[in-house]
Amino acid sequence: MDGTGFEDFVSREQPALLRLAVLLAGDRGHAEDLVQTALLKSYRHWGRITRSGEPTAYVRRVLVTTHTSWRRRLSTTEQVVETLPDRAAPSALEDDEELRTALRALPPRMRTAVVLRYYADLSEQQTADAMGCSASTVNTQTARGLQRLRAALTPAELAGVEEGA
Amino acid sequence: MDDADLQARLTRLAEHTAPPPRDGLADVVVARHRSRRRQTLGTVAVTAAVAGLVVLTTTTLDGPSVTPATAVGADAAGPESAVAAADVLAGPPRGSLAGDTAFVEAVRQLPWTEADDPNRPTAMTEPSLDSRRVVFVGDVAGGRWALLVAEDTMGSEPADPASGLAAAWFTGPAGAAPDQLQPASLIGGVDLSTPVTLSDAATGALVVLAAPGDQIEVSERPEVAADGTVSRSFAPVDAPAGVAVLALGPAAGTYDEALRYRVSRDGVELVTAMPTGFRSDSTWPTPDVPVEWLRGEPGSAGARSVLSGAVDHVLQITGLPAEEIDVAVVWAGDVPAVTGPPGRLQLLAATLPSGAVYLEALLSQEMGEQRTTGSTWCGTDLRPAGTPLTEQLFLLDCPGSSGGGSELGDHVALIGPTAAASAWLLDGSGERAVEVPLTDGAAVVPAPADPATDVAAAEFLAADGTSLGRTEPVGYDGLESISATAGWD
Repeated sequence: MDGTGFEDFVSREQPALLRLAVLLAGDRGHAEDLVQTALLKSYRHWGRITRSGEPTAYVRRVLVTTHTSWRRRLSTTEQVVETLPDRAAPSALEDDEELRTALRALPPRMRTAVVLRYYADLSEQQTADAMGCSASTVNTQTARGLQRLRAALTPAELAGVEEGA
Repeated sequence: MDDADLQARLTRLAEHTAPPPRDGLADVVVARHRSRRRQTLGTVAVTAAVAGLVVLTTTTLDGPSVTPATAVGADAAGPESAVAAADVLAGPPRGSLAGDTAFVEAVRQLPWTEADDPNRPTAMTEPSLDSRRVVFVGDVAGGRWALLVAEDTMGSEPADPASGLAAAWFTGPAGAAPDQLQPASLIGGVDLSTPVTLSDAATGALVVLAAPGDQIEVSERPEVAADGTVSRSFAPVDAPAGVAVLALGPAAGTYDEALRYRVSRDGVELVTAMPTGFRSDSTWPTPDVPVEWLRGEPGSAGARSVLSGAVDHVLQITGLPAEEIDVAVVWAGDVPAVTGPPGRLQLLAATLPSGAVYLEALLSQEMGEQRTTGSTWCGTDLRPAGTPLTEQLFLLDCPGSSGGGSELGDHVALIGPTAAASAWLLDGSGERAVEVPLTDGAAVVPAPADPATDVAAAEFLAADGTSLGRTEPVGYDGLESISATAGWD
């Protein structure tokens, strides 16, 4: 297999994948594992993926589905066992600890929907494609996620439902 | 915090907390792939030997015989050749009306930007007529559907830039004339290698469009065993020319979030996912399911509406008929408010056919003068059959929320047997931190203000001080377990 294209892709996209992964996974260690697992899964089909065009969306979808099924994967055979070296922590002053805590408190699928919609700027349908669910599920999960985030972050509005609706 | 603020904060958080890129990661991944490949082939070789080739067993286990197999399997063939790429939308129209050329042509000219039904999605820009192609047109359970592809004018980031195509499902009633079909689902940036689906919760119609020769399987719902474990069974369905047209029966809930399809090619799984869903009868009433109230009473109209929505959600994610689920409210009661009317906490329990119990903890509060009710979850759980709900222990960590001039602070809810007279909140080290008196076995108290007192568990006590057991906060594993999409790999 020609790994050149894969190496170029990893070199180019690794930072963006790690940024997405850290929001989804909630911590740096799991983010690294998540990216590596997604790349490993993608590499198995690399020829087909690249023949279909730019592989970024495909790898992102693998990353997302790997994340949302993480518990199941950990209980089977997909866990990443390689230990990665510790890295220097970023300045605590730069962290938005409030947001990070609020994000981590969301259920994984809810967090994924919010991150894909509001960080990755995907449409509902694109998010649904990435999560392997319907657009209506994305809508519901995003609304509930925003509701919880806003409640946790600022005294903002709860999502209201009309009585009797 | 508006959407732009949230996006900016998420971006900053990602930039500041993401680990730095790892040098040589591609090499690590390739090496791991080859290592796993060898392990897999080694396992196959050992299995074959155990099955009868006893003489080869020693050779295989010694190692050398594995090496040639690895060279053939991983390096010569390569993983990309395991499944040939296929354009699932290619070819002439498929479906029961594909041979009706006049109908096909009329469908091809349907507008994408207009719909009589305001609930239908519409495109912003009409794709050119020349670019349109009918992929599927046919009769389905309770309706008549068509799938078209055309140039992508939706301006979305394409999942497959090479395709440059958008797709649109059009649906109408049974026997509909072409001009009665209206957009039901619009897909920008179509990935030609990904099967396209549509399901109607109102009729149970499901169409899965894959490539000719692909194998299609369907799982209508997850199976929850008595011990609370969740599994799925997929059944193969007929898919002539790569199209499966199924009549599964109406969904019990407003939408069908239990349904999954799987497409395989040459024995290799391509995708397992939930079909794109819609509901053809927008006037569908929320199912009226009997609810047993174990402790507490129905609250305001808003609280009842929240409960009704949760019951509907249970039907959606389990895919079970309402008559196969016993719904109870384990406990319902008020939650003190910082401002505004009290909130309402309702612990909903749905006992599934196996006896396992799915739980949703619902927190709601009336807001403002608009007679609206805000709601959120304090957790979801899936518990094994056996212990009566009235004897189980629940610890709920309910986040604060506010809106419309009303505000609920952070709360902890403790719900145990009526014999429980008190409970201790335990911190992360297992130490007793706060004692909470219980009324009728339950209490809702403000969460400890001291961040050091992070409630990690609760221990319930009878009046004589006997421990009735301890439990950890209900998380969200229940929903995760039931809703996880099986098999994507």
